[in-house]
Amino acid sequence: MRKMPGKEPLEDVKDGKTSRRLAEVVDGFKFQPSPNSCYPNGIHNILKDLSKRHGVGIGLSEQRVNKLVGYTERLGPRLNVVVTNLNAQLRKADYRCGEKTSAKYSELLSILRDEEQSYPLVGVAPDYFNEVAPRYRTVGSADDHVLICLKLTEEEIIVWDGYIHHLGASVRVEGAPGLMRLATGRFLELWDGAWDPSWVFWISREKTQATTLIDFER
Amino acid sequence: MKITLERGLYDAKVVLHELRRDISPYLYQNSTQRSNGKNLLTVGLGIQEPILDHGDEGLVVRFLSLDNIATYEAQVKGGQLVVEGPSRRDVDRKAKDRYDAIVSKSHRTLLPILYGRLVRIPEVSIAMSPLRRILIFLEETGHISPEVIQKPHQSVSRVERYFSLLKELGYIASDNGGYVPGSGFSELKADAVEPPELYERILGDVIRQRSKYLQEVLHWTMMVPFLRWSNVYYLPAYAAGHLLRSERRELVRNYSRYYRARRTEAETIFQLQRTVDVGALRREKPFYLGDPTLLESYFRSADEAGVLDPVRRS
Repeated sequence: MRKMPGKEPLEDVKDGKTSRRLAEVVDGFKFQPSPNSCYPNGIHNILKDLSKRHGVGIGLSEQRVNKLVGYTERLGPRLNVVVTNLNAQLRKADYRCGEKTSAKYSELLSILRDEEQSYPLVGVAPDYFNEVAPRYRTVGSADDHVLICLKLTEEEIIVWDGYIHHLGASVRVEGAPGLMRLATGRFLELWDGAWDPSWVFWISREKTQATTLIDFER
Repeated sequence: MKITLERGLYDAKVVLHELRRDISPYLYQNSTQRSNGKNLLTVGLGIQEPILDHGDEGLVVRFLSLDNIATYEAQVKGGQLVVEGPSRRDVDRKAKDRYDAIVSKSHRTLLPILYGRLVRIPEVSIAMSPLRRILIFLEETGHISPEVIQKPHQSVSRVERYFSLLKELGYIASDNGGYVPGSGFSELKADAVEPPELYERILGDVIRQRSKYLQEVLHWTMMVPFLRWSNVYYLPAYAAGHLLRSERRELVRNYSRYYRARRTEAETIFQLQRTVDVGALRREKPFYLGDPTLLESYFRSADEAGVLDPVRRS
């Protein structure tokens, strides 16, 4: 990860949603057990956070999430069923999830600032790995990766990456394990360069959905 | 599996996009062709298998691609694009079978190369001793009958299995109620291969050609843990193309992936140490490394056997 001179230490940075220190936000996040379980792992973690923040029991175990998203070890998640199956569960508690491709920077920012919504998941092109682990050479066709966005400004984005422990101890840890920062410009390229360009996934309380959907479908 | 798209034209990219959403996001296009008025799209599956190497060249993360895993037909019907082909379950099963076949092939390739190390394991040496005795007796006297190696209270049929094994492979031949050296034995002698290498080569070939029989019929299961803990190093090294420096947790992860089984920490440490003790792996704490000679032999044999033929590596 490129060092950004003069930047506040990651552990002290506060998120734009709840003004909590990021180290506190990600405390309890679980790293993905398999190299290709970034998406269900991300869902598990943001549900856990939302559940804690809102004081509601909407958390789902990783096994449950895996089942809902049709995850298998070889094929990964079944993308077509994720939102439908998850919503069938979340609706019971008046929550709902959604996904969108070709999302805008402003839309991502909006989700990140809204306390009623989860931290969003984003997909990035595999070149991302060259950013976070410059000592690594990536050989072969890597796939897109899913990250949890925690904070976004015009200068930088801070994400949490559940894959990091698969890369061994050589990835420099800044702040709590899993926290990564990228220049926003570079992030937007990686985000748009993914197979589903500028894809975002989020979860929110049902009562806020109307506003959210109107904004997104504009 | 059938997907219907509101499109009047075939576009491989669109079909692939839908397949990635419905089957797996790790599918990629292998080839497209047209046959009998139908468009065929053959896809492969990306294997997320980072191979960490703590070597001098820096860390390498490699991803493997399992080519030609499924073919889908797409045709335009009534203004819609209809895509048909294997279900998600079928693709998963095919990927599992293909992956398991790679692991099995690697075992078959690795086993005879490790033979010299295998026999250092006491249980394996004991299990192979009846075969070795047959060969030694033949070399010394030119003829052997089953009674020579039959132990008291041991059934004839059990002893005959060893003779049948060597006879099938041409190392011994029937003669007057007993056995004499077969063509395989004689050819090695003609090439000036003398004991003990003579016995090593023959027994190594028995292992190579009859490993499934040895394990499943003769129940020589003592080879299995040793073979597996060697394979979790050598197969990734082959995929990487060079000697790896691997930490224990990486070998454990490989074990879990290849065999869909977990071992306790204690068992892992003991089995890995055993593998080091017999010289199949080396230890430079905290890393495990392969033996360069074994590695070279394995690479050569794996190339010949096409261990990773279904996989595109770069």
